[in-house]
Amino acid sequence: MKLRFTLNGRTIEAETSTSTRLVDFLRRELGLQSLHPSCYDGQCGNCAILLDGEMVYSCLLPGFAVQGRSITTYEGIIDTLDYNDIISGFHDEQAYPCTYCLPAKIVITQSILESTLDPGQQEVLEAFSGTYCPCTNFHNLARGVIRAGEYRRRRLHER
Amino acid sequence: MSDSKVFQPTSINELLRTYQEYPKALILAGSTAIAREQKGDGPFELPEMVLHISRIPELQRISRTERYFEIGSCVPISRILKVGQHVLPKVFTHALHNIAHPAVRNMGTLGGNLGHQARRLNTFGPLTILDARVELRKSGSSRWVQVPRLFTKSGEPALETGEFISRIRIPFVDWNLQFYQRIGDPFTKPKSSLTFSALTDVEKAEITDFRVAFTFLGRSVLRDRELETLISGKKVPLSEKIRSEARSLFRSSLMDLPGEVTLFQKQRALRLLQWYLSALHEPTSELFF
Repeated sequence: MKLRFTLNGRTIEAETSTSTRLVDFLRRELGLQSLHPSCYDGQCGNCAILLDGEMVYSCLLPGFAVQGRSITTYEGIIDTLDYNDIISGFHDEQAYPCTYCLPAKIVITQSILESTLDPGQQEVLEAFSGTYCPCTNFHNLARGVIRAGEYRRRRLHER
Repeated sequence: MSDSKVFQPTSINELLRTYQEYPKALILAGSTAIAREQKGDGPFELPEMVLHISRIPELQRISRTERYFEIGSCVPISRILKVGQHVLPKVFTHALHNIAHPAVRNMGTLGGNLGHQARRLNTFGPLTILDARVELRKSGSSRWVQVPRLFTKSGEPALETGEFISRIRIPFVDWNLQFYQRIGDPFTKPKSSLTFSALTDVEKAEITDFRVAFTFLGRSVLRDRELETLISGKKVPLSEKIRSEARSLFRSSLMDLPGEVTLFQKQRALRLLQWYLSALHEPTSELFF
């Protein structure tokens, strides 16, 4: 099936089988190595992406679900100032996700900060409730996200 | 395995035309249920024809009148919560909150949750007792049915050929006691899962309206009208005699349930009802919404 969609700001035209999961399409066919599917059941969160700005797990979607839509992955965030805000926030609060789950945690944080720059702790913990990797203390992570929001507010305010 | 043919209509008319042509096509919107049922890292097993309807703007609308809230069948759960959090009945919003986690709620749709063929999921019980109605459309006609009428008594879909769920209408009615509880996970532990939804109106220590529904997360739903009649009109707190009468009435209704409902589920349902009846009092308790 032919697909046309936006991936990290670029228009992509590609072809895939209709039975292919989105995560496999993105990782195996388009080479996005930041996606680390491990459960294929929507439980671990390591394949999180932003679909039209909303956080979704790409293992639960068929590849054709991206037709005409816009996808942002870790690769699309890493070269932006948004990434700096998030990493600075994580660093300040000693939230250091492992390399396996870091991309997903960055994507989830980005989705939180796109909806509000002043998230509450409960809101952050709720957003991370669908992730599994126990590498990070979730309270540090929540504080890191809140701190990242502060960095971004400050940066946008200084403009 | 041969590839499925996928149609992605962008308007209701296009959907109606295509569905009329391929009435056996699988209608897919959020795809979360199918993904959770087909675990493992293999590709999806889809039928020959798939109608992917998540890009139809008419099915993505939410509107509100003085009397009801109307939700398109392809509206994601998270958007319903965002828009209706403070206006929709709490028993319903609590059921929505209980659906997995935010990433799934961003994908899953109300139509999918309600219309799942093999499972009566989170929203089925609350929408049943709220007297919500569902619009079923097909080429050339549409009709509104109550939620339980979506399925036959044996649990088979009651939709006619070429019909699909297009809107869900939830009436605004004030209930001063609302309660929702889900036990277990319908996809991983179907034999020990159930939902319990309850609505009660209490005025001057008298129950003026009482509705409860259990869904056993397979195909079985239990709404006991005799029990509802027995409890309505009684004073709160309920006397031991009434509670015991209600218990035996409910126990016999549980016995009539089909074999797919396990003894464990029946026992949990009975205990939940017992607890609910003993906890009922004037609407000040924090136990209720």
